[in-house]
Amino acid sequence: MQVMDCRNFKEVLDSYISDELSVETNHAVLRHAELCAGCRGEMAARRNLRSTLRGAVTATTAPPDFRNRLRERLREEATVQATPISAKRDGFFSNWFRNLAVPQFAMATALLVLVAIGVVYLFSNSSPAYAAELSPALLNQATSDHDGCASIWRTRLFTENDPVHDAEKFDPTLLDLGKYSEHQALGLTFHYAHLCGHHGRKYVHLVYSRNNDLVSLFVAERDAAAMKSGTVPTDDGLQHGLQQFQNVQDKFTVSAYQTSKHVVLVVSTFTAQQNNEIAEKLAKPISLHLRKIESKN
Amino acid sequence: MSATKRLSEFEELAFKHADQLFRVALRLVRNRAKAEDLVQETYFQAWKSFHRFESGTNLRAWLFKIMFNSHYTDLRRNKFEMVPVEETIAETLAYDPPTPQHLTEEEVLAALERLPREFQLPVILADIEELSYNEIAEVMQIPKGTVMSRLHRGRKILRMELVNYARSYGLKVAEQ
Repeated sequence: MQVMDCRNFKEVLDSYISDELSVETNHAVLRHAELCAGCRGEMAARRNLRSTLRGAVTATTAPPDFRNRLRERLREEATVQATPISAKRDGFFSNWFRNLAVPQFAMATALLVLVAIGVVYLFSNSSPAYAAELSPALLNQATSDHDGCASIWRTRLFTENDPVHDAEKFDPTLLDLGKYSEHQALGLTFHYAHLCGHHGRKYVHLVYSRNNDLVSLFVAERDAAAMKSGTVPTDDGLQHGLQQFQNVQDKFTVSAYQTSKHVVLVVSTFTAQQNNEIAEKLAKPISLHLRKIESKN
Repeated sequence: MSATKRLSEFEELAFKHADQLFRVALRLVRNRAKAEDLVQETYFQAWKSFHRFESGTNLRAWLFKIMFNSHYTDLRRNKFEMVPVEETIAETLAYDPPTPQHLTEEEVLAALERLPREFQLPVILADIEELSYNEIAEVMQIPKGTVMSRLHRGRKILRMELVNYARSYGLKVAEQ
């Protein structure tokens, strides 16, 4: 028989409310709740939170005329689709025809698009590709991590730890990177460094703030997935200077330096100019430090 | 069955989920006009492949799946790829405070809006729209384990936000 303590109870409580537990765990939850008034209270509070949440969100509905507009559009589509089918042939053939008609049209469109892409590709290929451009996936992951960790930092969950040494697990040469950045010069405060994992990629993540604005610095490996072209350039990335990306995921600014083996990214919601200034003081000295280490290896 | 009759059947079954789709679309694209477009597109796609829908299976989850798929296609078109790869959520948040008892809809909504999107969407799909973990995995095109870890973390962050809020306003948080 499964015995459950308060900690386990709270861990599985939401899944219990969602009816996602096995029968056995369900029973263990109920047995624990019978004996523990505190946890019964927590169960009631979480149910209450959920129903308040549901009430708040479901107050939003589609606009009143939305269904009518939708109906009109679908009827137009249905008429177009039904036109080549005579009423008498309704049945197997008409369904067959209708089902076939859409894919044929889609295939024709797809073919046209493919040809168009091919033409564009041929022409764009005549100009030299920028080999060291960072992949959208990397930018997307870094900004998501900035977003995710920022919210955790706000809830002050990291203040009791000293996660700087987590960096050791990634690569010993990356330890204590924070001391190479010149954040004080810009009025930034350095909060913590930790190891982040996202979409199978590992980062050293350093978090800074100025007033209420958060700035993240990420050090990632310069591997094939980090590059737009899918191949790792053999050059020392620093020669590309500062690279800048705006409106990543609609709101983030990213400035990046590359070394032979690493990419150093600065992410914030500041303007490009402000973010670049910050990158000059944070990412550049760190990149120079990394380059020194890399050249020794 | 004639096309018109079949369309009526589709409308009757599918239109009742329009509000739910619209609410989630709003969180995906964060703009009313774009959300309307996304839901329209979803219904359009759903109608086109309605013949492939197996009656008896969950139509609502199927519609959500079409909507997310359509959204991901838009994202890819705009070059920012959502990579549906299993992620490692390394940190477990150690402190789990008791949930505050008295919360208004405004407070809860504000905390939900502050959640990062990757946590917000699973929380909305599970706790508000009541999709199963398996259905969410299918809709969002991520492994079930990732759904569970994001839900776990998202719900915890949400509670932390509410506890901090309750404390800052001197509300009673039951201590255990």
